[in-house]
Amino acid sequence: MIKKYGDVYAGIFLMVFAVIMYAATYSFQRLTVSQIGSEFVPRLVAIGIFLLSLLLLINGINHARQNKADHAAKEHTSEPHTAKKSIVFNHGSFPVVATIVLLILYIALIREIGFLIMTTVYLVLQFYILAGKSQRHLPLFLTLSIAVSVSVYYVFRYGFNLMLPAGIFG
Amino acid sequence: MKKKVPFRFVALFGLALLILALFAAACGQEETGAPEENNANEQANEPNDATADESEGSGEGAENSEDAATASGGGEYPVDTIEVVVPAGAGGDTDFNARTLGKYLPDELGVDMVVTNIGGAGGTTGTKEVFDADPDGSKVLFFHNSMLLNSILGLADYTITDFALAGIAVLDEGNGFFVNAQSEYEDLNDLIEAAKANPGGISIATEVGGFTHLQLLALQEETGIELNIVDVGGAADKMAALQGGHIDVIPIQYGSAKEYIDAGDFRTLGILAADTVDLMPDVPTFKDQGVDISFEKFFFYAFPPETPQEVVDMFSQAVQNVVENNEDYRAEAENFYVSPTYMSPDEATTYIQETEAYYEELLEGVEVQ
Amino acid sequence: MLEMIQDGFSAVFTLQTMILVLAGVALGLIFGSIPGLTATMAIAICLPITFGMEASDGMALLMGLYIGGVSGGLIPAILLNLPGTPSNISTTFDGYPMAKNGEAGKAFGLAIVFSFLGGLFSILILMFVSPPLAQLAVKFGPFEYFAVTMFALTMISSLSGNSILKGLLSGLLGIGLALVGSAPIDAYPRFTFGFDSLDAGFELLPVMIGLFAISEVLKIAQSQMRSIDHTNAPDYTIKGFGFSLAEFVKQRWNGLRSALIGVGIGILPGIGGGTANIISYVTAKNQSKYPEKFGKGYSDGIVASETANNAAIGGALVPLLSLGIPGDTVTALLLGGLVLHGLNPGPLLFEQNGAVVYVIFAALIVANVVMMIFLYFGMRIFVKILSVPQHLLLPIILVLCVVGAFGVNNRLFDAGALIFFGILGFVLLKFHFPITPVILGFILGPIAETNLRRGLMYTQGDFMPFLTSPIAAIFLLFALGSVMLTIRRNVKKNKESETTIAS
Repeated sequence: MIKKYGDVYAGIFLMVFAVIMYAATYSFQRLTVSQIGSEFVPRLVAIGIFLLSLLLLINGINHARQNKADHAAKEHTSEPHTAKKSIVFNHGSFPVVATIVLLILYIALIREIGFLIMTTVYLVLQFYILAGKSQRHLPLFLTLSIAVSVSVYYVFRYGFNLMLPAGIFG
Repeated sequence: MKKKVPFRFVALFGLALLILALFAAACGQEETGAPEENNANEQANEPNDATADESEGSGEGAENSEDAATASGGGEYPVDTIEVVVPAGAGGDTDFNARTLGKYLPDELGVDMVVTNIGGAGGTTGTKEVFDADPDGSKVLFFHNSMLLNSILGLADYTITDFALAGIAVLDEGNGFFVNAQSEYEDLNDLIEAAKANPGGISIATEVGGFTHLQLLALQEETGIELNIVDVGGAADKMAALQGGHIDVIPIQYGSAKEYIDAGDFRTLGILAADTVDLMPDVPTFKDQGVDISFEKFFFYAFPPETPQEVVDMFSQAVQNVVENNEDYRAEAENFYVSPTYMSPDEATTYIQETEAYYEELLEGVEVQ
Repeated sequence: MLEMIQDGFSAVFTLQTMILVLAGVALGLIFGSIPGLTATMAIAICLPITFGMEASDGMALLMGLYIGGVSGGLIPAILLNLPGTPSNISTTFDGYPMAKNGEAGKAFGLAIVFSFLGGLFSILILMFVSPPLAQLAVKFGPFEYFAVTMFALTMISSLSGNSILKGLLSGLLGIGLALVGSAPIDAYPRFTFGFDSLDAGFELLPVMIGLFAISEVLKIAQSQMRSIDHTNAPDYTIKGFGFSLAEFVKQRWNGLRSALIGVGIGILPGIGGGTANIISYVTAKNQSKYPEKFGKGYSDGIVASETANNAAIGGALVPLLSLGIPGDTVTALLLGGLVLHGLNPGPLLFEQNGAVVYVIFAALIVANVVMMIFLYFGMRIFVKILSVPQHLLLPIILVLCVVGAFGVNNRLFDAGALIFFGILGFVLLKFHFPITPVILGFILGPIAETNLRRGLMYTQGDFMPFLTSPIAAIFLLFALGSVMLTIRRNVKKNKESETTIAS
């Protein structure tokens, strides 16, 4: 999917992005009046992104057409090929999505709950997500996460005076 | 095999952390009298000559902190670590003043003190952080008059007096105008004459919307001259621009320019102090030269709104003790050409409100410029 | 002068000072080697500690940290494809492929030796020709800066991989991301959509670590650790420095050119070491007879990157010591350190505090040697890191990245930005957009914009001085030439590919 229509999607997305970006420049406040204000470069960048992504889109459509044509030509030989493509996106996506969700939760909750607890929880879960089935060794994960979060917290908080969020312990 | 590898790794990681921890401890030992005394240091209880009784004091503070928090006003500061937020990068004059005071304040209060730099957005990011913090005395802002400008220009929707102000600690009266030693302007009047002859032809550095911008606006208004006001960035950038011959005049702190004046690279046109400053008796003021404007850069401490009054008072008292009585501190500050000057929260409020009104008046015409 | 150098060295070779240099280099290496922790952070953390020391001791510690911090980043860059600091981005391009090909020892050897040589070269320049160079640096006004950054931005086309179109889009995206926050000059927020926390914009560190490191971790997460059992397969045995004298001699011009680029970029305040390695890498690639070998594990790539980033150290110290002008965050911190010790960097520093200045020089040279020794013996240990299962190693690195991002400004916002840019980097990789141009645009875009607007303030709206200032004109010509060259090369490539298709 991504390989075939990737440029088309990216082109469309970036064009929309550029339009929004351009529109947003109209709400900038100005302090001084000069020929080139704070909206000049943003508009230039937005226009550049728009034009280049238009090119990307055209290229992408051409490629997709060509591929389709090629595909049609050798339809039967390439059947397993297409099947493989979808695997890349579906099979591997669970750990990625889980990792992203985990990271977002980690940062979102760290202020309230504190570095020590959140880091321990995050590490255990992240070890678990990344480990293969035969590598899931919970006692090791637990010891390691506690050791890492405690030592990192104390080294940075007391050694280096970095005020990591203490959370409910604070 | 599968088991071996993780454990070897644990050992390796442990080793790395041990090294880190050792450094941390070693670092802690070095900083006798430095702003951050860490707990390991106190527990080690080394008879460190002058600091011996002080660390005893801070030990007590830590022990009693819980009681003090509930008893409130029992004379003990309610938290055992104060985070001083400096809304500017490390190495600048705000940072310098915060850290110098931060060396001496912990002894007065019996607490640890950590200076934290939260830069960006002309200081609004750092001030916002303190504005929204818990009002328990654990976070205090250390900043200067730029904050007034941020609120006047609409970059922040709160101002200094919305905080629980703990007073002013330092004044910098050496806000001067400087030219390259090769410049044809010997004093302020040369500059004014030249500007009158050639309106808009003399370039002068500023940061648009910053403290120096105000000084230039005031000068233009007072003398009726017109200068080409150019944004060249912060103090270091201004000095580079003057040395590189890109700009005619720069306004910076006397303390930063002193070295270059002594070396024969820069010349002072004058400083914007109300009277001759004791620290720099030979430097002419603008008033001496017939231009009646004066500016001071003031550095203040402020707690989040709603911080209990007794906490603010306790802190303010400690600031007064250091600023007025600690000779070591005064010597260090004066070495940097700033004047340790204490103003109580009430005095500071009046002073700041007057200053704010003046700034507002100056900035009225800016949008049209 | 010789006497002062001698005095400087004898001051460094006392037990206490030596311990500080050693500790500084070691701590710097640790910070540099952990993605997310940088030389800047190491120095920021240790700066207050130096207040209680003698000036010369404090400086010795800080110089050790600086050298170590810049050098440590090569370790994760080569072993894990994660640049430890912005100075090591282009080290990953050839270092990681070399390690994968079983040449980790050679990659380390080259990186270490040329880091040392680049550092040494720049320190010698700092010692002997710094005043005239500093005078040259201040001649760079807004017109010149604008021209230099425009030239550097044209490097994007050489970093674009297969599609120049996507490279340019990545570069523009980088510039666009840097626009978020307070505008240069008038300071009003742009693209913040009312969120106060965006006012300060994004910091380089979370952007860089997010785009390169977090996205890499996500990529590995997607491959579901299938390759874990095979990562140990390449042979990481190391003998000596892993390369022969003939190979070393072959790199002499590349090394010299990279060192000059590193010093040159380092000297210009504001552009900094983060870009020196990329620009040096691109130049080496463009000048090479075999540009197609770059990115597949080619020695020249590592040499170019690692020589330049260490050479930028001495470069950055030139305007700092002789004029008191800091070029980047690290040197701004060092400036603070000097001032707090009553040493005002500037024209009088050499006269008034010559002794301390020569201690700084001596400490830099000693730290440079110590760095090489530590890394030489350390590399045998570093390769062991690879025997650690990645499912354990990567999460721990992620935690340290979060701590590092938080430490930039003591704000959780930066840690959030780190995650955001990690996801963005992953998406870019999925859609085959190159990442390095994003960083280049992110660093250079604001410099170009600020100086364009400042220049127009100077001239009150006249654009001509951008073309009539000789230095600016030369760099703009370079930029134009670089664009033309790229276009010609592309046309040629297209023709070739057409002919191959036809035949």
